[in-house]
Amino acid sequence: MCLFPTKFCIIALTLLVFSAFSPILGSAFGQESEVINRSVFAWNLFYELMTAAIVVGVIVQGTLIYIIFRFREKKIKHEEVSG
Amino acid sequence: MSHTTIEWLYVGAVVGVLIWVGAIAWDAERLIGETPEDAITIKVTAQQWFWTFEHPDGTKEIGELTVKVGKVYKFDVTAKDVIHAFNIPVHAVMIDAVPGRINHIWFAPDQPGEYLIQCREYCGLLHYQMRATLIVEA
Ligand SMILES: [Cu+2]
Repeated sequence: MCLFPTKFCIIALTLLVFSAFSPILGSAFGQESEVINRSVFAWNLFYELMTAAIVVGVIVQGTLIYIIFRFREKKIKHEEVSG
Repeated sequence: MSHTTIEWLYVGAVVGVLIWVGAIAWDAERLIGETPEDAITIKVTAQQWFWTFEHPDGTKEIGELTVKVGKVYKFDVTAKDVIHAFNIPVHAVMIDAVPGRINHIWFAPDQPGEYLIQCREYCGLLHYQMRATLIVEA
């Protein structure tokens, strides 16, 4: 096995982790921003995570549909199956 | 792409999403969980079936709570008889009011007006009527 996937995964993961933590790091080391509105915060979180969930769902379902369509049984050879 | 590549991509993506969700949850916990330092403390007492609010200067209000826009408030929530829950739906404030225990939650009103305060834990016959008014003054 070539090292490409491992390397790729490590790089992708690093980027993901950094993108996820950068706002945290920013607020931890920078000036604490103004007081948050709990309600707005909660709804933002909700929409953000819903978007992520739907994106993941679309990718997974889309892949399934693609695989099912791509490898569908176009010409069934009954003779072969029944032996 | 070989099968191994696809599998590694899949593993990477799943782990990445989990880490991302974990980081967001961590950040949310930090932002919502920590009370700002300049918060004004209000003692909230729940009992069947009404709310009592005590301001830092000792003034008490029953059935209504008057606060000001632009200030941060911290609630010390407790109960006298059974378990209740202190809830201001519009401001996403909700915490249990438990006898013998003081729970904390904070919020910062940014719009003047009158809002609903309600009990959010079934506490007996008149639970459904255990409401109060949050008055936010400009
Ligand atoms: Cu109740």
